[in-house]
Amino acid sequence: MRSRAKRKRVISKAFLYLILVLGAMIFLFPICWMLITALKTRAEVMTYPMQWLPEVLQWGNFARAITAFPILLYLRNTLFLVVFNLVGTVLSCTLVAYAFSRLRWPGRDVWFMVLLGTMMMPGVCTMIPSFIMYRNFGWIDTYLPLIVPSFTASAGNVFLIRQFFRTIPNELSESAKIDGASHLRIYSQIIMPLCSPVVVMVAVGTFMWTWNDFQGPLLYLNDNNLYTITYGLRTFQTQNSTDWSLLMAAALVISAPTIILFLSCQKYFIEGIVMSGLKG
Amino acid sequence: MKRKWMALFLALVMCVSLVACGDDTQGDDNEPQNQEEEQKPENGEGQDGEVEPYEPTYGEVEIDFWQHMDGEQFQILVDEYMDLHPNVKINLLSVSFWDYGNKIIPALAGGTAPDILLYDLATATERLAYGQTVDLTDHLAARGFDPSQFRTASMECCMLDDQIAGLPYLTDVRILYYNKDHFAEAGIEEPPATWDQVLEYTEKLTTYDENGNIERMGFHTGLGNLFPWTMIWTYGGQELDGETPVFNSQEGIDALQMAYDIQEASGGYDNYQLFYEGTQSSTMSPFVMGDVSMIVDTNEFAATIMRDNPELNWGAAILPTSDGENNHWTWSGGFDLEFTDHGDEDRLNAAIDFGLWLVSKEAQITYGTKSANLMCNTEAAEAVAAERTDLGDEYWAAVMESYDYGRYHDRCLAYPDFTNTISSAYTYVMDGTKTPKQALDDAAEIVTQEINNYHLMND
Repeated sequence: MRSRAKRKRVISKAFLYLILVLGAMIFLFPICWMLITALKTRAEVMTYPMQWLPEVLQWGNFARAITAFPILLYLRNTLFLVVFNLVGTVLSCTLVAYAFSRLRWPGRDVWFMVLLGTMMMPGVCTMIPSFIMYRNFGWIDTYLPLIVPSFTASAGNVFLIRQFFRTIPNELSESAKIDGASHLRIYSQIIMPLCSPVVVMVAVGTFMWTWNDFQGPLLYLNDNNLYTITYGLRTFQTQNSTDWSLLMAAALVISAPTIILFLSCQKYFIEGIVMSGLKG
Repeated sequence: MKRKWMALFLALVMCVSLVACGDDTQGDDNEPQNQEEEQKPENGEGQDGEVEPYEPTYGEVEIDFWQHMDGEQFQILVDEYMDLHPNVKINLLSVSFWDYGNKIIPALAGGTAPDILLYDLATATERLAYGQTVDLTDHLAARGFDPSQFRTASMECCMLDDQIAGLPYLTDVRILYYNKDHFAEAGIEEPPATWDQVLEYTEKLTTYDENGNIERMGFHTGLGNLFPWTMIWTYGGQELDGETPVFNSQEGIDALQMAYDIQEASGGYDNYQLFYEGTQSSTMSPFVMGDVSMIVDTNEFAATIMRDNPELNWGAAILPTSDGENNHWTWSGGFDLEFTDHGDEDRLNAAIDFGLWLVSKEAQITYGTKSANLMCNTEAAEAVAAERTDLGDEYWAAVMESYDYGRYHDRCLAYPDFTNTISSAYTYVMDGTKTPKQALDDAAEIVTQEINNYHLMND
C-alpha cells in the first residue's frame, strides 16, 4: 500500500519535473539560438534549408563584435545611469512607501489610489508632453531626463514596497517612537534593514530596466559619446544589418550582465515577490 | 496651515505645467501656421514682392543633420561638403530606419529637430502645414532654384499649393521580378504585360507536392511589395477625387477581383496562408530562395537578391496593367530634405545651402552609385543607371521606365491614413469575407465618415 503511494508520488513528481524542464527549454531556446548564431559564419546563418549547428565554432565573432563599436564607452555611460537610477529609485520609492504605510495623514488612501492611477496611463501618451517639458528645462542631449524621474518614485515600485512594509509589525516602529526615534531614524534603522528582499527586487528590476532602456536614450540623446549600451547596439545593428552572427555575439555580450545579475539575486527576487503579496 | 500647504502645492503644479506647456519658439505645436508670413522678411523680399538674389553672408556656423539611411555614405558627403566649406560644421546623426520616427516626431513637436533632416517625402507637406518645417519657396527662389532637375512626381509631392515643403532626395518604384529558370521550365518566354497574363502564368508556374500543398508559388499579390492601390492604378482607377473616395469605381473592383482570381489560381486562400507562414521561418525572401516565380517589389530588392543569392537567374519588368499598354503606374515612396527654423538666419541659410548641395547632380551620383538607390535628381538617376551595370540592362530598363510612372498617394489632410482602409478592404476580399464591390463600398463609406468627422471637429 505504502509502496503504491510512494510510486504515485514519484510519478507525479517526475511529471511535474518534465513539465518544468519543457517550460525551461522553451524559455532557453532563444538564448541557445543566439549563442549558436553567434558562433556561425555569415554563410551558415543564411543557408537554406537551415543549418542548426556551425561546422567550426567562430569564437572570433565575439572579439569582432566587441571591437566593432565603442562598447567600453557605452558600458561606462550605462553604468553611470544605472547607479543614479538605482539610488534614485530605492531612495524615493522607499520614502514614499514609508509615508503611505507607516504614517497616518488625511487623504492618504485617496492619494495612494491617485498614485496607482498613474500606472494606467500608457507611456506613449506622455512621451511628447514629457519631451516638451524637458526641452523647456534645457535637458535635451543630457542624462537628466533619464535620471531625474527615478528620484520621483514610480507607482509600481512604491506599491511593491508599501505591501512589504505592511508585513512589518507596527509595534516595532511604535516602540522606537516611544524611545524617542524620529521617522527618519525609524525608516533608516528599523524598517530598511528588515526589507532587503524587496529592496533587492526593486534594485534588480531597476537595473534591468535601465540597462535595457532604449526609448529614453533614443528620445533624449543625440551625442554619440552619450549613447548607452542598448542604443549603441541598435546603431551597430543598423550598420551591420546583414551580419547576424556579429549582431548575436554583441547581443549576448550585452545581455550577459542582466542574466548573471538575475541568477545571482533570484533568491531575493522571489522572496520579495512572496513577501509583498504579489505571488498568486 | 493645511490650506497654506495645499496652495503652495497647487502653485508648484501650475508653475511646472506652464513651463512644460510653454513654447517660446514655435507657438502651438499642433496649430497649422502661416509659414509664408514668418519666412518672407528673412529672405530679403523687397517691398514690391520680388525676391532679392541670395548671397551667403554667414561666417562660422554649426548645423545639425539627422538621417536614417546609409550613415557611412552620408558621412562621406558631409566630410566632402565641410572640406569645400570650412566655415560650416555639420553634426551628422544617423539613426536606425525603424526608430527614426520615434526620434524625429517628438523632436519636431518639441522644437529640437535638427536644422536639416531626411524624412518621408510623402508626408512632407503635413509637417509644413503644421508649422514644424520651413516653407522653402522664397529661400529657393532667391537661390535661383530649378525644380525641373527633379523627377516631376517627387517634386509635386513636396508642394503644398504654392509652398515648397522639402527637397526631393531619393525615391523608389515597384517593379515585377521574375525567375527566368521557372519561366523556361513552364515554356514562358516573356514577362507578363497584362494582369490576365499574370493570372495565366500563375497557373502554369504554381506546383504542388503529393499532398496538394504548394511547393512553388507562381505569384501572389500579398507577397513582396505590391499594394491594392497600385493594382487599382494599373486598372486606371484612382484613390480620391478631392476628398471623395473613388477607389470603389469599376476599375477598383476589377483590380481586387483580379487579385482574388490570382490567389485562386495559386491554390486558394488556405494554401496561401500555409505557404506564407512557411516563408516566415527564413530571413530571406521566398523569391530569392526560388520558392516564388514572380514578385512585385521595390527597385532596392535587386540588391537583396544580389546579396543573398547571386546565383539566381532573375529578370525584371515594369508592372503589368489591365490592357498592357496604359497605366503602368507604380507606387513611389522616398525621402526628402526638410528644414527647421531655430530663429538663427545663418543656421537656416547654411542648412539650405547644404541641402541644395546634397540634391545636386554630383552629390546624388556619389550616394546613388554606392547604394544603387533611385535618386530624385533625374540626371543623377540616369548616371547611376549607367554606372551600376552589375544589376543588368533589363533591370535598369524596367526601373527607369517605371521612374516616369511613379505615383504618390492622393493627399488628404483630413484623413491621411485612408490607405489603411483600402488595405483592410483587400484583406476582406482575399479571405473571402466580402466581394470586391462590398469591401470597397464599405471602405469608401468609412473614409467618407472619417473625413466628415475631421471637418466636424476642426472646421
